[in-house]
Formats: sequence, structure tokens, C-alpha cells
Amino acid sequence: MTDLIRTNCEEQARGFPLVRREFLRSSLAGLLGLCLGERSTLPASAAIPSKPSRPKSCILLWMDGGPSQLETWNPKPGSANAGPTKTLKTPVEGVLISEHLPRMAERMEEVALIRSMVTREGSHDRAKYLGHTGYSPQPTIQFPSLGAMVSEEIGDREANLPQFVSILSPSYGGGFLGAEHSPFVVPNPLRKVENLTLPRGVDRERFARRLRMLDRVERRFAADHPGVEIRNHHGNYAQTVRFMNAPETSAFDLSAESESARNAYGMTEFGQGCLLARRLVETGVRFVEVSLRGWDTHQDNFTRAQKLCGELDPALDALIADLMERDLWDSTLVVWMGEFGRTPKINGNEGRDHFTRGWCALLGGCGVPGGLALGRTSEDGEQVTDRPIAIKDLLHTVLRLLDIDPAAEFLTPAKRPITLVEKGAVGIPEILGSA
Amino acid sequence: MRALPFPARMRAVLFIALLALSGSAHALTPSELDTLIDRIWATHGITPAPTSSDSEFFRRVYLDLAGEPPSVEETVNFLTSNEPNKRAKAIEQLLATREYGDHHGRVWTNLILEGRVLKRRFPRERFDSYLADSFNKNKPFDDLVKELIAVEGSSADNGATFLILSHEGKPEDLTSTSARLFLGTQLRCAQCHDDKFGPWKQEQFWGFAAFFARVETRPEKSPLAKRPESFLVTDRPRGEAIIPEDGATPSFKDLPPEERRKARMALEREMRTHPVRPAFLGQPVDLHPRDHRRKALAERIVRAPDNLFARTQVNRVWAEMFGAGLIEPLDDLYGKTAGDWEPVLQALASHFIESGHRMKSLYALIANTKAYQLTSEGQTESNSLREYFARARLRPLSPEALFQTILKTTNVESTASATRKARLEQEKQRYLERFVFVFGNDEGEKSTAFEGTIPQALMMMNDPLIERGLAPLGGTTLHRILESSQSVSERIRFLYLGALSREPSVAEMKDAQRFLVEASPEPIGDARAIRPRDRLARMREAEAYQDLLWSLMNSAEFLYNH
Repeated sequence: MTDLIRTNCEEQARGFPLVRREFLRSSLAGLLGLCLGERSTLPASAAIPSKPSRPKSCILLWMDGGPSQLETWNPKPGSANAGPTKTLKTPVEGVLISEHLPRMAERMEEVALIRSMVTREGSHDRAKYLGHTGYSPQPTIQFPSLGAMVSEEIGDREANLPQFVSILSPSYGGGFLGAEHSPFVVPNPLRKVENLTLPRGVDRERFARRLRMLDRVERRFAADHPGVEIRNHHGNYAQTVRFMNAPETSAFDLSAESESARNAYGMTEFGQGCLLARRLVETGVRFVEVSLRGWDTHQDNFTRAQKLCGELDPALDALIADLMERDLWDSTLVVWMGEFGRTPKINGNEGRDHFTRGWCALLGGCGVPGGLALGRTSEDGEQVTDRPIAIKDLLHTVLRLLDIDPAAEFLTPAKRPITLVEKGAVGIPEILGSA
Repeated sequence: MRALPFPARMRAVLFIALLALSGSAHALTPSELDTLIDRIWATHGITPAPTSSDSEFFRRVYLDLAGEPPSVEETVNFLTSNEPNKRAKAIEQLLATREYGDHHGRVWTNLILEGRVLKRRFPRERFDSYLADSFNKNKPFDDLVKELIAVEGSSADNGATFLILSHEGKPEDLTSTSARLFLGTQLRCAQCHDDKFGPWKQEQFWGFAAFFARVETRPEKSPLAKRPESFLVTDRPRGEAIIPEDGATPSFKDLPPEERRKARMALEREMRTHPVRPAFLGQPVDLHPRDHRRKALAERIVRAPDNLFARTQVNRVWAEMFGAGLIEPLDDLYGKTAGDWEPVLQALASHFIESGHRMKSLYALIANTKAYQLTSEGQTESNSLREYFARARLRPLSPEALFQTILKTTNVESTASATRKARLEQEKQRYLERFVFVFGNDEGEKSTAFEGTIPQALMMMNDPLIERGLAPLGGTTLHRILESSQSVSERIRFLYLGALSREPSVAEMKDAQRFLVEASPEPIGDARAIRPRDRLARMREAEAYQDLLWSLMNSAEFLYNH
């Protein structure tokens, strides 16, 4: 055990920049094996800088399937399209929301509501892709997901945790920004991260021994093949062992939360996913996506929407309260959206079908003005009567709120220049303010 | 890159003329191909890397042709053989293995799926075995493609229905995929609008789609069955392509019933008034009303102008064997040349056509060249040798090959209990899907340098599958060597040969011996003389061997084809 290596470990734990290249100078097993041997005892909070320098983060709550705007943020009482859903008054003038969102009804002064979203895609796959990347699918280019853009632009490259985590869905990958910005996927927040812990029968000491041997085994091949591939391999293994060993991975363990905190979010996959999102953001992850599935309500829309609202309402309410309480609200942008909305007209199966106009999105935190209700739809919900807002404009606004330039240009592998968000997108001035 | 540069085209024409003069109507030999490659290297003053060692070559060609590494026995036999033409022989033998077809069947299944997830009730095994059979029988590749496109029949007994069914019979998706995979042409940009960056107009996209406009897929089920058991692929007698407003053929199932009828009527009206006539890559095609449109398309695809069909396939195979295509991206070579490498691409394409589109002949040709058999050692980043295929590249194993490699190295399948064996195939399929999910990357946009991901490393280091494969029981590789009476160095040698297909060096042998001694300080004599106090020592010993194999399997040498 050399002192040099120990110093490296400590520097890492304190978040000193340690570029991938440097891993190679020290031996893989040396660096990692020893790190492992004496697991850092720094509490996770040590990695959190004090308030002024707190970097911005984003939590995207993805409502998979296309949530009904009429059963959430924009009911149409009195119209033939209303259905059985009753409404609740909110402190924001002119804003009525569904009776199934009682907790959020009291929070509408803290978030900005957009009631006039429009998309050009009406089938799930294409619309979801557009909603995540800002572009319709094209065969020749893989566009990066919003989380990948955030990871690339403001992600901390030296962090122990991946900067883009997606909970309950694979989301979309890094596209032309590269696989290193693809999400770390948590298929189920209630379960442990897959393969994060050592296999049965292998303790830390034995794992360190394996890594030491791996280091020796690699020597000859690395000497004969001194290329970028070898460095990537070392870099990836180093990062992974660092990840396994990082105190921050305790963020994935929800059992550290009190019973009451867990209950506040609701003991559902989505609720616990939101709690995990808060814990990850707190630990320095810059983008967390949490999916709530089941909004494709062609049949039986009203009971199903009510049930989904029952999962959404406590989770979103608790998330906002928690972020505020922990001083994270000003640096964390919360976005609520799905791929499209649903037809105001009720179909023969008590359902609503896909609808590309006049659906809702919600933004909050990160300096977004609260109590804002943007855009309008007609009495029957069929038409957007004021301020139609396209997806690319929403994504443009989201990136600007996170201090990212939506017009940043990249070259695809085929050498085509591409901006992060499609050209022609404009920010929403009411939300960006003078920013 | 977009337009064919004039001088390049001139060169290409000249070359064809020269070939014609020299009487090229015979199949290309590996040395003729090497001559063409040497000429390119000479022009650029490049001295290629030396030839690979036998073990390097054997592992590489095994992984490329059979999708898995050789067994210990095969490796030893190959390395010790004194036959002068043993490499050529090995290639010939590999192309005759069942694994050759199985591997390429899986590769093509995934190419066709392109990330699509098959519905559970689709009999994927039938598609896999259809493709595997086709490769193993060395079916002319043009026939295979024609079968896939023009198929009529049921998935119950015809695996060729795979292409159409996996695309749910959607004309626009079938258009994109067949243009991309079979013609190396990206039409999809033109699906919704004229392609600003390519030559294609929206009208031309839908002209191609018109060949698929009549395709129909129907679930088949017996009266008592709850779910369909199979699907029928057939053509309707009528049906035209139209240019839909939002770029996709309208789907009615999401519409409310009363609107559904209206929309369908509107569509039929549109088909009558504004049908898009079939056109192949922009060329209008006159068909008799009763012509089978997909058959007409299939014929045109395999005979596409400028050898486009053959160029696409040989470029893909070249990329498979060398780690990059002569033209990149692989599915976008319409109107492009391979630059300096154009003569090689031309020659390969002509060879492929003259051989009757036989894949085995193409693989054999390439694998037998000196160029394919160069070493990968000595690679540096800024090396122009890499760019000119003058040194073999390190290529991450495909998810399919990695999975097979783990199975074969550990022999983990032997640990399955009898009840489990029945479900083994299913379990393998599930695991393979996980591997494709965790290790897959998008071919078209592959970043220039492969970087592993955290889930990949976690899987290799900690997954129960690996640990089960390392368990010294039930006939695993480790079990076998621990039960044998081999000496320590023989066991180490066996592990190196199994995992890395080569002998350990003297230094490595010493390293491993030292490791085993340190890890299990009480070496025991005869493994079969079990005394109670030996049990702990035996466990320690087994663990040490497990750890050695674990490190071999997590090394770059294991995870890359090189």
C-alpha cells in the first residue's frame, strides 16, 4: 500500500478532478483495490458544495402514454367533453384543476402551467422521441435525450455517479453526444441497483484481490496494444469500481429515509422513484427522469386517470416540499410532461384518444415564476385559442433555465452540424423572464 | 462525400475497364485482393503491420466466423499443427460449422429488428433458425433477400415472414429497412419531406413504399385459442401508396370508432385520386395491375444499378471483419465511392456477384487475405495504419458474441439442473436480450472509440451468470480442471487457453502461480484424496482459481476481438 495511492483515493472522494487518463498511470488494482480496502467514510453530504455554488439540476417527470389534460391540469367543466371529473379551485386566478390532484391544487402558486402545448407527432414512439430529444426520429442521426444534453453540457465529469439517471424507463440515449451520456437506468427504485453489490461469496478483500490480478493479467495485452481502447477499458473499470465504492451510491438506498418521508411520496414505484430522484439530485446527479406509465387511456379513461393522479399528486407535492425544505428548489428544475394529450371528445369506451393540441406541461423550481398559467384552449378543449407552444420551444426554455445554450452546435459522425434543440426554437419569455 | 467526386468516378470507370481487359470473369483469389490492397498502401507509403501470430489469428477468425472463441482443444490442435496451409483449412472448417449459421442468423435477426422489441408471441426461434439455415446452406444471398421481401405464407411454417411481420407490414418502415439493409440507401429522411441533405424526394420514398402498399398481415388462431398463434403474410388485390399528411400511414386503431370510418373512407378516396405510382430509387416502374408488387421490388433490389446490392453486402462484411466499412456509415453508400478503396470494393462486389451471392465464398476470400491476418499489436492512436486497415483493429465483441463467449469459456450451461435444462433455451434468450440491452450500441452512429459503460462493467464483474460460471461444480470449466490431476501450471495453461485462446507467457505463468500460492497458502496434493481438514484448503484453492479466471474474463483481451 503506497501513500501515493491512498492520496489519490482521498482526492477522489473530495471531488478533485481526476481525468480518465490518469487512471492508467497508477495501476488499476492499486488505485481501486486500495480504495476498496478502505472504503471512504466521508458522508455523502460532504460532496455537496455550499449553497451559492450549487449547480443546477433537472428532474423530468415523464407521463408515459400521453396524460389527459382534462383529468389533470385543464378540466373543462360544463362542456360536453367534461366527463365525470370534478374540479378544484386553486390560489391562481382562473386555474381550475382536477379534483384528483388536491395537494397540487394548493401548490399551483409555486409552479408554472402551460395549457397550450402542441406536438407534430401523434403516435407514441415518434412523439416520445420528439418529446425527449426535440427532434422527430431520423434514421441517419441519433439525437441525444434531454438528460444526455444536460450531462454533456453541465455534468460533472469527475463525479462518482453517472450524471443522467433514468428511473422506471430506459429513456433515450446519448445519441451523437456519445454513450457516456446515456442514462444509468434504474428499472425499479424499490429494488437494488443491478450488480452493484459484490456477488455472494466475494468479500471486499477478495474483490480487491481479483482486481489486483486483473491488473497483472492486463499488463501484457496493454503493452502490446497501447491504444485508446485499452485506456477506455481501464477508464470504464476504474469509474465502475469507483461507482461501486462511492459513498454516494447510498443515495440509491431508499431504506435510509424515514417511514414518514417515504410515505409522503406514496408507497408506489413512481412515488419512490421521485424520492430517489430527490436523493440523487442532492448527491450531485444533474438529470433524473422518472416515468409514470399507464396514461394511454383509450378505454376507461376516468377511473384510470383518477388512479394515476392518486400516484402523481402525493409524489409531486412531496417532491416540491422536499426540494424547498432542503434548499434545492432554486437550483432544481422540475418538469412534468408526456408525449401528447388526449381527445376532449370521449369515445365509445369511456376513453380518450391521442390528441396533439392543447395539452399540458408543468415547470417549477430553478427560478421559474410560480402561479403562471400560460396559454388557453377553447371551452370544449378542442382548439388552442392562445399561445400554442411547440415541444422545441419548451426544450429550448428548459435548457436556458439550466444555463445551457440550446443553439450549441455539434457535428454528427457524418459531419452534419446539428444544434442541441432544432433551429427556430424560441424561449418562453414569461418563464425565462429577463434571463 | 455526398456527390460522387468526378475524378473518383473516372478512376472507378477506368478500373472497371482494366478489369474487363484483364479478363476478370473468374472469382477473385485472396492474393489478387491483397495485390489491390498492397497497391493502396504503396500509394500512401504505408508499411502494414506484421502478420498475426497463430493464436491471434485463430481467436479472431473463430469469433468473426462462428461468433464464439475456439475451445481449448481446438486451439491446441491448431497451434501445434505443422500443416503449411492450416489457416486456410481452419477457415474452411469454420464456415462448415453449425455455429457459423447460428451466429450470422442472430446477427441478421438483430439487424432486421434494429432495436425493435418483438412481441412475446412472435416465434423468434423460428426466424432465427430460418436465417441460420439459410447461412449454413450457403443459400444465395439474393435468394434470401427475395424470400424475405416477397414472402407469402404463415409464420407457423415460414421463417421468411420475419421481415414483414417484425415491421407489422407497415409500408414506410419496410421501405426504410429494405433500402437501408439491402441497398445501403437512406430513404427515411424523405418519408416526411424532401431530404435536404440527400438526393431523395418525398415522392420517391412513397414510390418505393408503393411496392409494399398491398401487404397484409393477419393473425391466425384456432377457434378456441385466446390469442393468435401465428400470422399470415399476404397481399391484398388492391391498395396504393399515398403521401400521408404527417408522414406515417394513418393508423386507425387510436381513433374513436365514428372517426375511424370517416378516416378510412378519406384514405380510400385519396388512394383513388392521388396514388403514388411504384418507383424504384426514383425510377418509375410500369407494372401490370396483377403483378405481385413485392416480387417486382425484390427482383429490382437484387439487381439494383451500379451493383448497389452487392456493394452494400460486401461493405458490411468487410466492416464485420475489419472493424469499419470501406464506406461509412454502412447503410448510407448510395452515390458514394470508397475513395482510395474503391477498387477493393468493386472487386469484392464483382466477386460476390460472380460467386452467385454466396456469403461463405465472401467470408473465405476476406479471411484468407494477408490484410485480414495482420497483427493488432502495436496500435497507437494517431496511427494511419489503423485508417488504412494496415493493422488489425480492436473491436468490442458484439453482445451476441460476448454472450456466447462467456457460455463457452465457463461452460456455465452444464450447471443447469434437469428441470432447468428444459427452460435453458428460454433462459438463454432472456439473457441474450439483457446482453443486447446492456452491451448493444447503435450501429449507424457508433462513436469512433468504443467506451464501456458502468452497467457493462458491473455485469461482467458481478453478475450471477458469471459467478455461476465460475462455480467449481456441475461440469464447469473450473470444476473440470479442479477435479483433474493436472499440475498447477497445466491448470493455468488450460485457463489461459480457454479464456484467451493462447498460451500464457513465462512471466504470466509465474504471476499466476504466485497469485495462486498467495491466495491459497496450503497447497494440497492429490485433489481426490479428501480428508476433512483439507476441505477449507480446497475451498481456498478453488476460490483462487475462480479469481484467476474472473480476471481473465474481465480483461480487455477477453472483451475485445483483436
